[in-house]
Amino acid sequence: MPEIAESTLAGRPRTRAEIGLAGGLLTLGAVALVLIEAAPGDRAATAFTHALGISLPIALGLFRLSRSRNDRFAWLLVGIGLLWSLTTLAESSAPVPYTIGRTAVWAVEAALVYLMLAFPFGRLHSATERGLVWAIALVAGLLYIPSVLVAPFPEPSPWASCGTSCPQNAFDLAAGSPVWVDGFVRPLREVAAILIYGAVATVLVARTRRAAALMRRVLAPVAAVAIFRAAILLTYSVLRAAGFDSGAMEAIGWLYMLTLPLVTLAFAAGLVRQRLFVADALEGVTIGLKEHADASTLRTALASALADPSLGIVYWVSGEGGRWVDETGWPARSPQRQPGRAITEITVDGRRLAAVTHESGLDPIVVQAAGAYALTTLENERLVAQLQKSLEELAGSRRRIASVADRERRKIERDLHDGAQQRLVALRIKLELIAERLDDDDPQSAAALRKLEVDVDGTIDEVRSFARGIYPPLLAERGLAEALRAAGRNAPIATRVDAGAIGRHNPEIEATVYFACMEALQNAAKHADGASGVTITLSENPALSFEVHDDGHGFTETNVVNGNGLTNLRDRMAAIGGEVEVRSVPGEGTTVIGVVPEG
Amino acid sequence: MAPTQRTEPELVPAVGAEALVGILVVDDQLVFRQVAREVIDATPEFEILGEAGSGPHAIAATDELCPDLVLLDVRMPGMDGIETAGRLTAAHPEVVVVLISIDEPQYMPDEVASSGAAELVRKQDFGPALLRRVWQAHGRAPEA
Repeated sequence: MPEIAESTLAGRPRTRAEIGLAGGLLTLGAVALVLIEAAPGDRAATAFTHALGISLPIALGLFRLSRSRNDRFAWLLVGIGLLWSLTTLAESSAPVPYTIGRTAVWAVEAALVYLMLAFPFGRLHSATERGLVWAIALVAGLLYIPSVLVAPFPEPSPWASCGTSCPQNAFDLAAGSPVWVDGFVRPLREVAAILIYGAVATVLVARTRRAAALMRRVLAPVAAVAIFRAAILLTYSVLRAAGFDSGAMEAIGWLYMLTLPLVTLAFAAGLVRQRLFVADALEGVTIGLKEHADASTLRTALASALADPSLGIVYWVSGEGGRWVDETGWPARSPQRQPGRAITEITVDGRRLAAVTHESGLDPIVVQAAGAYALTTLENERLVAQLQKSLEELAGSRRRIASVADRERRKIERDLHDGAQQRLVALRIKLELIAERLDDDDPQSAAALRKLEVDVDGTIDEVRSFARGIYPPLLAERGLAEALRAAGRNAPIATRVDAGAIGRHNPEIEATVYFACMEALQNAAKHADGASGVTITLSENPALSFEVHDDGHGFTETNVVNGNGLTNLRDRMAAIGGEVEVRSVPGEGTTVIGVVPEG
Repeated sequence: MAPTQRTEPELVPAVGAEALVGILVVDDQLVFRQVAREVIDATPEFEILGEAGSGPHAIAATDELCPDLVLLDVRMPGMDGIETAGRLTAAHPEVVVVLISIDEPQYMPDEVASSGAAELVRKQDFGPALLRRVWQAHGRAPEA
């Protein structure tokens, strides 16, 4: 499995600051040198070009290093910026620095070829690319740099503003230019250079065309600049060979010099497009998984988001040594590397989750980001589904508990009615019968019995009240409206019940609403200062709902006391999946509103 | 505490009852029917014509026994006392129907008022004095 670049590590701030400082100083130094030494008419433009050539690659390299210390391409950018600074010496009027500067040009040219071909990962992709880099290195190493020892530098040159009046080659050991250098080496190396740059442009264009959508966007600017550079070099070389020495040559020279900053800008444009693509890819994954997230839709979402229809994904299942499975859960082969394909492992929090096979042109960092996001979304969906299922089970359990509790309450009330209450009533009646019999013969005993009757009456009243408090018989027999009307008639505060024509509901729902209304009514009787009455309204629109409104003084959040009563009310309603809300406005009274879901 | 037994009693017409106020006691609770019988037996002007344990049985018993007064429990399974009262008074407007209940009148359904029953009383108040009062208010004067 290929290793993923540690994209999340940041470069050391001190190293970046040191490089930045060095780059800044080199830029200033180059500008100063040019302003002092360059040909009078060209100083500003030459200084600007060199400043761009040094600072742009270094700045872009440092920016990438701030995000990843191990970014190979970033280090290449920094390197070529530093190397370019040497070429500024070619503006010097002194032979030695001039010579060093002109010699350094070919190091820059070779490095630029490597840079263009290694964009954006900092590595060469094919044998052809490696061959081209070797070729330019050989041309530089065998045909250019050695010729420094035996011949003057060709004039004019885009790398020096001295035109045809340049300093001597300080390393030239031969007097004059050997015939074989002018007649063979120079034409050969210029033709070789033109061919190599043409090949570089061709390779970049081909790579751009073959690439997936992301890489096309990223490579296109660099390929365009490569074509431009090759064309400029060809034109300049031809014109120089023909002996042209005109304003057009100069202009073409400037254009050639500007291609390095242009290449850097092309790199930057490509990288910006890459980041935009990552954002698009993540958005695409979000949209693709929005409707329904599971393993089968994940592949489609990722393939669409990354614009790679051939994208494949296998999942890692840990346990018993671990194995790979496909999206349906069947065992799958471990991902195999294939020509033109790459494998990116998706990890989240250090755990291996999946492996994605994709176009080799796709940035593995993008694949990792999109894949990790998608899998995290999937995991979240699964967790949310689990949570929802748990909540449903919990709600069902609460409803069952509430239902069992109501059944038990009804049973207790029925048992009390059919048992203790009947016996107490019978006892009371019998006591009166006996008392009546004893009225004439034994009035004292009769009086004693009548005292007992009072006690029995009290007991009957208590048991009756207790039974009604457990479950009002009217609620079971006649439903919510009748039960609330009866309760309203006996409430300690004037109560009106407006129930319309509501029908019967499940016993637990009726009981919950009844007791919720009673709780609200009792709260109003106890706490609603200044209330003259309470209205209980029931409706079915279509869910069963109730409102208990008092015309008291109302309250604010700061002066309300959330006692057990309100908590009980909320708990009762929540047990059947209902909701309750308390609204109060000072001066306008308080309303308790409850809604019970249908079903 | 086990609930009291609900049973359907036999219809037992009394002998020589023409001068007395005949009462049919209707309640699904055996305990109350037994104590009601004791009260009626202890009230000379009244006699118990029979007992019924449900609304339909009460209607059949009224048809057969022609009581003067029907003592009818409100809370019975199936056809409750209110519905039974409505049917009885419709079929036998001359019969005085008195609803009785363990619960207090203010907790009774609104239909009690339109059921045709002459009065609603608490079970615990039932006794000879109540019988006489009710009959005096709604029926013929009892023969002493």
